Amino acid sequence: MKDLILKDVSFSYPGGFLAVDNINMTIKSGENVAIVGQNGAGKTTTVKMMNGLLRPTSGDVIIGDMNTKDYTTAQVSRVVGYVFQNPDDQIFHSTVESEVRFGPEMAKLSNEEVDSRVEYALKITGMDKFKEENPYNLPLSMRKFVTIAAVIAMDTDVLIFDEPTAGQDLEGNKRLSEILKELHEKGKTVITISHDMEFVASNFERVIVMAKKKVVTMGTPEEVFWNFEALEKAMLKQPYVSRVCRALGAKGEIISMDEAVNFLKSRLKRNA
Amino acid sequence: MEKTYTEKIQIHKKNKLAGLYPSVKALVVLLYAICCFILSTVKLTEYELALLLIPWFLVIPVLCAASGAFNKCLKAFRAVSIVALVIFLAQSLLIPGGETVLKLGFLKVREQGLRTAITLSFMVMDIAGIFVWMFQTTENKEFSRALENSGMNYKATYVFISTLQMIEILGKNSKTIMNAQRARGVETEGNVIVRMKAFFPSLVPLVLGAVISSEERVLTLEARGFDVACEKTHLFNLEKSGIEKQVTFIAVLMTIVLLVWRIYLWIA
Amino acid sequence: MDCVIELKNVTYSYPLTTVPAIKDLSVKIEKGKFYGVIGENGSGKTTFCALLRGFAPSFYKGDLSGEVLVEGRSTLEYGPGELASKIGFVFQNPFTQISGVKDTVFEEVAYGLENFGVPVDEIERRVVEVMKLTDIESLAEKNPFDLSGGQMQRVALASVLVIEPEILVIDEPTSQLDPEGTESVFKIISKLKEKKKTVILVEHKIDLIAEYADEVLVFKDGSLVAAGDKQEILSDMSLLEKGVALPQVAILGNTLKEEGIPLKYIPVTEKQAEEVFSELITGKE
Repeated sequence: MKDLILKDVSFSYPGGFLAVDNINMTIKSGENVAIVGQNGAGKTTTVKMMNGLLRPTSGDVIIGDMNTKDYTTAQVSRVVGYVFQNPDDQIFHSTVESEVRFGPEMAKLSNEEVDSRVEYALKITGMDKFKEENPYNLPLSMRKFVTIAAVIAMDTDVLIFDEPTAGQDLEGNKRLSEILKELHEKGKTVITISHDMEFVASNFERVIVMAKKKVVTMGTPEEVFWNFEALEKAMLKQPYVSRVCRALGAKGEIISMDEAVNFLKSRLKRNA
Repeated sequence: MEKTYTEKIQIHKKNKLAGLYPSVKALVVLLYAICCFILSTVKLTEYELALLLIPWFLVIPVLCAASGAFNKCLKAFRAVSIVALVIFLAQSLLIPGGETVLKLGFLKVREQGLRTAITLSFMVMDIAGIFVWMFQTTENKEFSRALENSGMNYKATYVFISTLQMIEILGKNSKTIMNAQRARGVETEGNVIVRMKAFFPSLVPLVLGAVISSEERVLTLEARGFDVACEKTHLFNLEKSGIEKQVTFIAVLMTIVLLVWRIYLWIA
Repeated sequence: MDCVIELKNVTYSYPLTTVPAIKDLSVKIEKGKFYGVIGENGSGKTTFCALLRGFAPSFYKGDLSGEVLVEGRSTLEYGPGELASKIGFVFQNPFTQISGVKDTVFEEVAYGLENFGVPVDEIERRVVEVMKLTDIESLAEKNPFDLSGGQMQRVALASVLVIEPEILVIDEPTSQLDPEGTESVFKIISKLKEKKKTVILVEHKIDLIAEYADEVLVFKDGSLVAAGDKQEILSDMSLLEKGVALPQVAILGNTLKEEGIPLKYIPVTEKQAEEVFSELITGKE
């Protein structure tokens, strides 16, 4: 079991800038977690520590039986895959397929294993139809899926997505939901940073809210999105449907379209 | 009364050397480099080494200190020294020819090697050093204003100045990219071969990123009226520090004296 | 209403491509209106913006047929820099909109006016004014590259607004920003609306389009597949077939309607939703 544990973790950048201030969290193996908060809240620094890109200045980051302090980033990256916010920082091959092949080939797997992983990764990201294409001919929002495929092909136990919803359209968001669902079913631990509250409400079992370098609260989307104190601290808003229902007297729980519909119907019945 | 922003962006330097008009600094750089070449032709000792280049370097720390920028320059000097040291070692150990001057186990330093090593590494130290002085004591907008005043096309000026700024940003980007590659299992820590392997995956995104963003930046400039055919306003005005003439005089004089001395050595 | 920009049967392909990015597009942009441009990624929204501003074909080259008229004159006839004073353009990426030659936010914002040869005193006055409007005066002496994405984007907006164009084309200004940054950018955009500027805004966040736009243009595969009043277009479930999400409240309204609950109308903004639903609830009492 590869639980991910952050124990009294702080991080300061060289020069003394404190980016994460004494946080604790446990993410169970197979969990599907979202991290929300404004830029500067410490989200990216936190996930970079999970991936070993940054080492905590104090405290421990433990993945299963590995303490990231004792391993190089490349070693940790075989257990924790990380999709950067900007795909252009990662892509350097001239076709989509070779970009996705790079990781598994680096890991010196057998040819069949590489082939099957690449095929799978391309398929679930919908990139199979562009596999011969140069990634830079695709729009930015699609290039993001190329880097997602590249990380999926690494077949790590934990995957981190940094703002995959940025700039995505309806279709892109749908595909992301499907990818998350598929990975969840395969038992992967998935940690996603997102600014899209609707997306978070409908795709995750647990939400971690961060603000000012600290964890403000954690819980199910139902709990988090009706915890006004926490939302205010993090300067976040409820999903639209929750806001509307709240204005109409709802006290909690509602975060999805179906729940909102049911709430409104019940209100109507009660009044009828 | 509160200062206006236009007043706040002006640069008033107390140090008269640091505040020299940029073209005078450029002249000092040029003359210093010419002197380097003159000095490099003076061969000393039985091995015919251009040893005068070594004391000539001392001019630079003195100049930086007198300009009040010694600490700022120190870091750059360190980098320059490393490059020079690598050149020195490579040249002195690898170039064959002439007598053996020094033997360190199986390594031999030959006469010819030592000769080119000293000339080349100290030339690099000297010339790079004087540029460090110029760039550390001059802000980008001073350069850009001076270039435009000297009649350089505003587009060429833009390219020059933005390149100076971009070097810093490319440095930052390359760090991000290295991290992104490490995150997917490319080892960037370790020996030379490991680092070489990581080089390519980092270089491609860096270059492509620069190309893409320069395309977007061209449009941004266009949107800000970069191409408008009219007399442009300059919010920033260059000041002279008042000792331009004296500095020019001293620099020219030193060069002439050196040159005359060198010619005298030839004739005598 | 005055028409400020008109596209007549415009078809445009980028160089080295066979499929046109915009196909036979005719549309009129009216003065003082706020247009929301929506559609899937790759549907031609950004190309549409580039055509309005003349970047296509003057910068991107490629083949253009038909006409793009700005105030009655073809974009091809405008000299270099001439359109810059008429149409302000704000891009998606905050970072590439920093000129890279200025050390402070004040100078960055002033850059456009320097290019236009505006006198120093007037530059100072206009820049200070626009920095207030965009809430960046506290950043005036900072280096633009040291700012956060949201702050950079506000600087980019300020740098364009200071030129005082009547028309603004804004292409996905918030896609790379956090909610706070997004809100600060939209605050500025709403001020533009108050000032009766003509605004053409590309944005994926449909709930924000619903909030601010007067008219909506929907693109799919390089064609304009729907155009008109926002209320009408954003409340229609057929929008989903065009690859665009409806505002959350509109989906809610439509679902209730399908279940036989009579709504006065389908809301597209939060405010409308509260009004329609609370009327429904209290009206039955």
